[in-house]
Amino acid sequence: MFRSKRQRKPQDELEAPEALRDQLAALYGGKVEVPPEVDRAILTAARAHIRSLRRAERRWPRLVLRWVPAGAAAAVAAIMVLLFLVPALQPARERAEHAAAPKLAPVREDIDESGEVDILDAFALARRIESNNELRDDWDMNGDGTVNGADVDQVALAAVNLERSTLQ
Amino acid sequence: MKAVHALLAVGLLLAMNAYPQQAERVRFEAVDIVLDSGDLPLAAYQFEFAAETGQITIVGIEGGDHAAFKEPPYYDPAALRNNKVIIAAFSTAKDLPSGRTRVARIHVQVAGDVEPEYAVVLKVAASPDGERIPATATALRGENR
Repeated sequence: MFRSKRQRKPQDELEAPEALRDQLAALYGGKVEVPPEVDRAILTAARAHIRSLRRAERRWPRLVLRWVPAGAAAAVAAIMVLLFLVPALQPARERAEHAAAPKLAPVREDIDESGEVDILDAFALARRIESNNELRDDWDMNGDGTVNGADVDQVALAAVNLERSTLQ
Repeated sequence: MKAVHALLAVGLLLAMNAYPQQAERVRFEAVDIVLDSGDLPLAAYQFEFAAETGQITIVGIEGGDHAAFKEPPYYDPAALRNNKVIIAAFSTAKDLPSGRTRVARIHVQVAGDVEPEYAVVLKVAASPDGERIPATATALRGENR
């Protein structure tokens, strides 16, 4: 039967020499005497340390009560600053586009350039067509190459679009 | 089993009694829109019409009395089956109305028992040269027409 060379029997365990064992026993086996004054000093220091820890624990709630409102106020102030700063940091072009968007939408049908599309725009276009006045290419609303009654209808329908309604 | 049958019968009776109360009363009426431009000839107008109270559905729109506005006016087709509409028309004819004139008639379906009250807001009235003129708009219904 195969047996590893590294396997040992209990009786093969190493033992320290007897002289060494005696010396170690003399060194660590004796009773250590602590002088009473050293004992009291350690005890006093330990009590002082525990008292300081308790004082610190009692001080914490007062510190929290003192600083939490200030911290909350600082947080609110930071949020307010962010709210005002973020729009201010928005690119000027983007803000201009947002501001101008409602005004830009109806330009094409605003024949009389009054700033809003209503039946007067269709009426103005119809009168120009009837009187053979000069017609602009951009009045060709349906893109059929001519400015005629169909374009007038398109302007009029834009004027009555329900999305322009102000009534609820 | 008899109890179940009795419950079913009671439920059926309750449902049959409740049905006439749930059915909405529906009727139709015509509302005339009258514009008054005083002494000035009326060549164009635009107004908004809606019901402030009551449950209405616009079902049809026709033109006015005068030849210049006899044709149906412009309106958004989406206004039909809705409860509000923007109505507009113009005329390049020589003969134009002045004073009080009916420019449109709006047919509405009224549902429920709440009597509708109509609002008309005149957005613009214009003379033959396209200039804005003062005018008033009124919605007339039933015996007031």
